Amino acid sequence: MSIKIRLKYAIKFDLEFLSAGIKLRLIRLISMVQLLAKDGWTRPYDVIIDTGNPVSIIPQFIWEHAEIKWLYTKDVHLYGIGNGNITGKLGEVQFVFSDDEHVSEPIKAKAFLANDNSIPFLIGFEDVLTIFSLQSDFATDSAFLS
Amino acid sequence: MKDKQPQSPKPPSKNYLADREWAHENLAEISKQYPNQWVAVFNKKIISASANGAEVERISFKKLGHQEFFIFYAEKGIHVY
Repeated sequence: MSIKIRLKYAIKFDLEFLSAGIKLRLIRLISMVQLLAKDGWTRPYDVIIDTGNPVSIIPQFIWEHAEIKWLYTKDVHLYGIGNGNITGKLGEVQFVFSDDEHVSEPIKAKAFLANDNSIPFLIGFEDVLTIFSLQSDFATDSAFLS
Repeated sequence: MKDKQPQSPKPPSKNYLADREWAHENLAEISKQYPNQWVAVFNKKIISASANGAEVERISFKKLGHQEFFIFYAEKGIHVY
């Protein structure tokens, strides 16, 4: 990636634990993504940079506006997300990352295109974190994709 | 997918980024009120929320037309994907 995209830490205290006097931070590393659509680009969406996830997962209401190259049209189960009954098909999409000032060049990536609208948009390793450098230093509030 | 080399879009607007900042500053409260739902924010106000992201976009478009709103997933609890 020729441009360094600044990532953001989304931080909140778990209110249930807080009411028990325990300060437990729930921290996510997030970015903004726009998908290549048939008539330009989709709106920006917040995404979770999920290093525990092998392949990006996109909810249906987001990918259905995108240009898709279908790679495998059989539904596969996506374990560990939603209620356990989430399925999706494998496709290739193009998207950009952005921060407050910069936008990356378009990236082609394989992603599971979920048959569900109730899950978050997750960025996984394949074609993204396998290619770009992820730097994260929470102590200095510094996180980048480059 | 057609083999075209698209130009990247511009960075999100200042209003969009301000709504995003507001949502993240109020993340705990929003997640408590709308747990594990997609939430749309415009002018630092919540305009729509639902477990179904398509529904949130549909309602937000109906309310705002093509004005840019911020939409995000308000996680509540411990999620390990």
